[in-house]
Amino acid sequence: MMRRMFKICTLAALVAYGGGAAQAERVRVTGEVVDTWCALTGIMFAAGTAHHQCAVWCAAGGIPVSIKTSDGAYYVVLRIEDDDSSATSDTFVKIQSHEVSVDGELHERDGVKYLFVSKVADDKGVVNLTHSDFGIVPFGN
Amino acid sequence: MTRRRGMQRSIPVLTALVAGLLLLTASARANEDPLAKRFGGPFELTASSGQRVSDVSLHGRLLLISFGYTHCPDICPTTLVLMTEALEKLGPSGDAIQPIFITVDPQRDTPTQLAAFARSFHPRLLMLTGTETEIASVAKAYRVHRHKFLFPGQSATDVNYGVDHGSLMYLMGVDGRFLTLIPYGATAERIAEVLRRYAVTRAGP
Repeated sequence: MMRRMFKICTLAALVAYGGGAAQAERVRVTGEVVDTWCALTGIMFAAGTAHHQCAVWCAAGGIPVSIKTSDGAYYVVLRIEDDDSSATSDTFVKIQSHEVSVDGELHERDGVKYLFVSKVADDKGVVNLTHSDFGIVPFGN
Repeated sequence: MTRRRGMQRSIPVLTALVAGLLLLTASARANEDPLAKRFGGPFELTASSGQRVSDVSLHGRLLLISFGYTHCPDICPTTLVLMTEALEKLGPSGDAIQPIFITVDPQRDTPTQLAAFARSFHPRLLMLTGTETEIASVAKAYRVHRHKFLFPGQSATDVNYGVDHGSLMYLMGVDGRFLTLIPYGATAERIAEVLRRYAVTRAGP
């Protein structure tokens, strides 16, 4: 009886454990730093210089920033370099709307890509100049 | 006869052992999951019924959480309609999931206001509000931005203000840890597809 109980418990544990968390993948991602909410909801201008101020507010307010690549994919950034305590950091507030290349670990779940950035490998600054399309004064007055 | 009685006595022991192992293994999985602590955290809020609700009092259920406010003209009602449709698509397995709406506008969203708003959506929808401090704390834990704004022509004292806020849906595990995020724009079918995977096993990724 005890042996059978042991077998059942072991089986239950294995079923509950499953395969464990998926392995992370080392990646380099290049794209524009955007605030995830505005970009996904498509409100306002949501990209480039026309959206820069809003993007900074969102990042400073705690919305996870994403890197939007040229193929339209979003990588939600959950950590940047040594800042493990927040989804955003001073670094990311400063480089909002910039085109960057970052190295990091990619975790993908239910179609959402999460990125743990270990290093900002390249920062080209703001290259998506959308402000003239919307009559916006970029970076405030 | 003695043997059968012995087996009957063993059933509660076996059940306890299995339950213990399930909790231990769920905890081990959560500990090795790098996403588990990235969103969410402790909270204590007030339900539309007036009852106080905490994250701990909700343990044991999967939580599908969205943030918004009852005066929202578009995104919040849309999200709650999609949430309702997705749960209906799940049928009985959806019972494992507790849908929750947390206001980002505690100034106007009193328990009474929330109760009236909830009638248009899922019958089990739990509406939560709190003090400004409580709402600020839970919004920070879930990384929800909220920003009060006035429409053109409004004065600072106007009560018909808007609130910018995050619009993601969060699925939290039976132990309150983050499981997955559902971005704005997902269809009811897609939301149901994601939820089904967790609702059936009640386990992590």
